Amino acid sequence: MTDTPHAVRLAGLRKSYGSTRAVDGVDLEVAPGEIVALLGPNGAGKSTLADLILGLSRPDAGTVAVFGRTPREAVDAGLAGAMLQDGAMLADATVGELAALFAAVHRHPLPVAEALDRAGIADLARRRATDLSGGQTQRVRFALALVPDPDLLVLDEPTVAMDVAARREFWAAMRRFVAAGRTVLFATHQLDEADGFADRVVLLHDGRVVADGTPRHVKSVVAVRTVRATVPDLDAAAVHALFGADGVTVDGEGVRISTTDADTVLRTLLEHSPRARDIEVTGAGLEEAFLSITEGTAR
Amino acid sequence: MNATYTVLEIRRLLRDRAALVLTAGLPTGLFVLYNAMWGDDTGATTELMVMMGVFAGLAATISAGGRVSLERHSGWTRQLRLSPLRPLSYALTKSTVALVLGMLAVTLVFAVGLAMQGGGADLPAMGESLALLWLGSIPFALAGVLLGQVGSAGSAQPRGMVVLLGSAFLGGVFVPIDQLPSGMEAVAQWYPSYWIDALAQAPFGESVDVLRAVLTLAAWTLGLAALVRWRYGRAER
Repeated sequence: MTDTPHAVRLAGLRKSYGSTRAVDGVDLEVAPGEIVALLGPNGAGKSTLADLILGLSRPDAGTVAVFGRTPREAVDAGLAGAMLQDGAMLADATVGELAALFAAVHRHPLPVAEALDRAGIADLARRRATDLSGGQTQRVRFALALVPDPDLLVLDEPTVAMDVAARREFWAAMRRFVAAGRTVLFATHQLDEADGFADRVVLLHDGRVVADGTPRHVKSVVAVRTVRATVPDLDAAAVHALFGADGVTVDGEGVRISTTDADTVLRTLLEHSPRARDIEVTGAGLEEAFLSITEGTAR
Repeated sequence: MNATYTVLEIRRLLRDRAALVLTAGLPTGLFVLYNAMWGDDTGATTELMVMMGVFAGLAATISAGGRVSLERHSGWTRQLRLSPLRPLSYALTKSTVALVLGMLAVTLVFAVGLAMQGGGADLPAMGESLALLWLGSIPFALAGVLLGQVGSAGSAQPRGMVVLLGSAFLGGVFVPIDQLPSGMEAVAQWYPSYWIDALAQAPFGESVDVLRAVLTLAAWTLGLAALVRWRYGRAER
């Protein structure tokens, strides 16, 4: 036993569904008070990881500890709360009744009114839980997650159904939550959301951690740009000689180069190809960035 | 079992007016119809009343399985897993709610039966018969919840329908038990709905093997409770 157990400690975690390896050997330690984004494209294993941390599914191999306990113990003790993507609302019940239900089953709950207030939905207490917009439903899930007054919140794509204003309000509520030194682990596929709120970003791809660090570090890894140009005066061999083979495709006169250093690529290109035209530099999506990372690690 | 959750579930049940009217109304409507066709004296009326009472209890409790299946597939039970509420506790609450709905449905049939008979009704017998139907609905409330725990959401309705029709037939709902072929009656004697009907007819003067009735119903109730415990206990890991 250590004096202060990790908020979350995952070791050698694996989980497969059929032949799909959703989580493929993840080791991760989250200290109390950290705000960690699990960043990855769809299918990277973020939701599976969230399920495993909450004890909603059992790992094929490896261990999960939440504040040094099993996930089930942590949930029962009210240490961990969560907002899931697909946690449905109960028909024919009001938001207030749902919160009261969660308060009734937890040992040391927040008062219902306070949980609703902290989630910014005090005005929705008397509304039917199934008559809400997507963004409102997300905030009801947030309120339910707050009822046990947890030390760790696990959020799976929390702002996915929210508009810009609701999103801003949600993250403001989350800042108030973490101000008291609590831990947040949230899954997202949006780099700017991870960048804006987390103090640590864990990049997931194909069920593995491919990068782990500050948002600035991870951004430098995933900030891939694509340089496209029509290059009539260089053949494929010459292009590959200049820019290598990774992320470089040549199709006739068309050249496409993925790079984290677009400036240097452009300078080199213009120096060696005076007739290069139709030059275009675009920021790549996260998906493309991941492709370049994993292609890089595979070689 | 958590009291707040059970009360909330019963309140939700009472709010779903359409389902309530359909579940409790269908057996009552059938009773009124059958009584208009065959209820020439009070003996036939009480027999039809008990038959439709059995049907009401079966239909209401078994349909609870569909709700469990729906909540399982919509993700509500997943949401509940984020609380200390146990799957077994959930199953007990759902069984209780199924039983409450069953009791309401049976009571409505009997209320209409009472109105039809007016002053000629045998009130103590009706009370006893009603209480027996309430008790007899317990194994089917468990069966309904068990049905909801297995299989896909889409198959929940047809599966419930098969169990309901089979149980209703063996319980003498559509054909009086003594008119079933003898082989059929021998099979039915191992099934709980047969004895629910037999017990509930007894207060009106029919004879019944009370010991065998109680043993059969108790065995099914305990067996189904054990299955519910096993199935939902597994979900708890």
